[in-house]
Parts: sequence; structure tokens; C-alpha cells
Amino acid sequence: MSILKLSLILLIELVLQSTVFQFLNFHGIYPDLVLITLICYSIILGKQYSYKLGVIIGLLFDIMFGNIIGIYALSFLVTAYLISVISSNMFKESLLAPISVFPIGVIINHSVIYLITYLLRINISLIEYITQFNIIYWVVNIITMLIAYPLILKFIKRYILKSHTRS
Amino acid sequence: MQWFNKHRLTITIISMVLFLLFCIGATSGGRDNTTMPEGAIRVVTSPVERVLYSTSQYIRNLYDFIVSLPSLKARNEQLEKELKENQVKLADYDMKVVENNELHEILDFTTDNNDYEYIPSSVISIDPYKGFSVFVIDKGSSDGVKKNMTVVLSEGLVGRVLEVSTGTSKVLSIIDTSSMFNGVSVKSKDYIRVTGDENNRLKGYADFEALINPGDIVVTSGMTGIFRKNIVVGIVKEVLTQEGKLEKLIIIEPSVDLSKVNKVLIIK
Repeated sequence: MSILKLSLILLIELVLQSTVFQFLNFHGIYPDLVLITLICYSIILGKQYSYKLGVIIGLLFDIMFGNIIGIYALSFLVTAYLISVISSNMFKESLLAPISVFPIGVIINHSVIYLITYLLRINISLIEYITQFNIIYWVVNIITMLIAYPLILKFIKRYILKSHTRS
Repeated sequence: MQWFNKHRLTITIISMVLFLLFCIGATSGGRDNTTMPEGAIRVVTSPVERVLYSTSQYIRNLYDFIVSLPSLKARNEQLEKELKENQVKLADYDMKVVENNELHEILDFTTDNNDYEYIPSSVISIDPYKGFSVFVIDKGSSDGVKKNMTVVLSEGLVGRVLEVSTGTSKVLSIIDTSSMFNGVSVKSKDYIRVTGDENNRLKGYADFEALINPGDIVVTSGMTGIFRKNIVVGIVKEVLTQEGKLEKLIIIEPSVDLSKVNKVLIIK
């Protein structure tokens, strides 16, 4: 049940990203809410749950936009799992955890996507792919991360972990 | 059994990765139709997306309008000037049309039938990572959309239908790097291979001897079989000769501003 709630949040963010953010953005750059939230989930929930959420949202992403099923599912799975392994010894209440882990998450996620598209011989120039991660991207995303992390932590503590201990 | 319990997480993840790799392999060749569950997910999400898409585009357009208010007067004057120039050209054009028709009659020349039937549809969402390379429209197989149909706007070519499910379909726009088709320069009749570019423009490759100049209009040649003939693609912006290569690189500005696409037409 909790997985359903958490994936619903991710789905809402995905829909927002594909519609509203395409028009209301900052010079074409907008926060990658899905990735940010997934990284937050991975830090807070640990490796038992995070990869499932990664696969669910990745598959939804693939179904709604990708023409090849599995690229985003695989990249989100790998990202969520590795992030939860890396952050397993971190102090979850501090904002230092998400900030230090977020760049690693972005790198893992996009490396996997790029690697798969490269292996499928879809022609994408590496330099142009990297240039989309410019300074504005990092500023916008890290600010969003700083706002989102406490909210998600609060949400998970109040609605998810509580119902777990009760049941 | 104990060993299995101990390594359950690892085994689950490895099998999931293998399953997803299998999915990637199975679907990488492209598909004509989507499966039932996928169609169901899209049917659920598309109404929400349609509302959000059109509202946010409206807000964006309103904002753009307010921002552009101060420069409107200058622009208006410029357009009026252009209009006068074009009226003169139009008179000339009308004369040419009459002349052309007369000559056609003399030569008994048959023209291509350009009266296509259209399915009008609206965009409901865009791939958040790739931008306008792939977008979703609100017409699917139940409305008669089929794979590889040509998607256009009155200004010109937009793309082709990539995948169809019952109520929605995905469109691969011409600016995607995996899209490639054959175009022809109207003036010099040289063929150009046109593909997408990461900067939302089009790249074309033509023969070294091709006489293509900036400002030339490029239309589809109809040779690759996917796109219909004589649909406007864009205007040549730059012609570059690459060192050590036997082809000219041509930068083409698409005639359709893809970042403002809202309604599109699908040619039946």
C-alpha cells in the first residue's frame, strides 16, 4: 500500500514534468522532480524498497514516452539501488545526505541511459548530451532538492513508517 | 534455501535487470501497436495531461504576450512594410499562376493530388527528458491512426506516428536524432538527407556538387516512403563544406516552431 502511495507521487510529478514544466520553466531548464524524489526515497527508505519504486516509475516513464520499453526502468532501478547502498550509513535527518548524493544519482542515471542508447546504436552526441547539465541545471535541481527532501522525509515519517510500525 | 533467503535481494535485482534488458531487446526494433496494460495506463493519464498541457501553454502564451507588449509597435510597423512588399509580389504571383495553368494545359501535364484527408488532434504531453523529440497526441487506433502516418501543421512537416494505442499515439518529430528522411531543395532539385539535431534544428547532408544556398526552401521528396511528397520542411540557414568529407552539411531551420505546437494534423 505504501509503495502505491509513493509511486502515485512519482506519477503526478512525471505528468507535471511532461506538461506544465514544458512551458513554465527557467530558460528551458526545470527541476527533474522524478529523479529528485526517487533519490530522496532511496536515501530514506533504503535498498529494500527503493529499487521497486525505481522500476515502477521507470516503466511508467517508458510506457508514456519512450519508444523502447525498459530504458528508464533499468536506469531508475540501478540509480535507486546504488543510491540506497551508498547512503545507507548516512545520517538521514541532515540535508548533507541528499546534497552529497544527488550529483552521484544524476551521473548514474544518465550514464545508464546514455550507455543503453549507445549500445542500441541510437545516435546521440556525447558532448551535446553532457552540455544539458549546465550550471543552471545544478542550481535549479539542488534548490529543489533542499526544499523537497524535508517535505518527503516528513511525509514518509508521518504516513509510511507509522503505518508500518502499526501493522 | 537459506542461501536463497540470504541473497534474495540480489537475486531479485539481477533477475529484474535481466528482464528489463530482455524488454529493451524485444522492443528496440519499434512496435506498431502497444499492449493492453500500456493502453490502459495512457487512457487514464491522457485526460489529466491534456488539461494541464493546454492550461500551462495558455499561461505561457499570456506571459509571452505581456513581455512582448513594448516591442509590438515596432514589430507591427515592420510587418506592415513586409505586407506591402508581399502584395506587390502576390500580384506578380497571380500572373504567374495563370500563365502556368495555361502552359500546363498546353503540355497536358498531370499534377500530384495534394488534397489529403486529415485527422486533427492535439498534443497532450512531451517527453520530459528529450523535449519535443517525442510527444503524445490524443488520437489513436480507434480514430484511424496508423503507424508511420505523416504528422503536419499548416506551416509544414512535424513528424511521423511512432506507436499507436487505442486512445493516444506517440509522434517522433523530425528534430529527433533518430529521425531521418529524404528532402529536396525546391530551387536546385538536389536531394538532401535530413536528420534531427540536438539544438532543435535540422541537419541535412547533400552531394558536394549540390547548388544549395541559404534561403532555399526544402520539401519532402516522398522517396523514403514514409512521408508524403511536397510537404514543406524548412528553410536552409547555412551551407557548410566539411573538410575531408564528400558531403555538404546543411543547417535547416524547420518551418514549424515545434516548441509552440499545440494542435497537429495527421494525414490519412
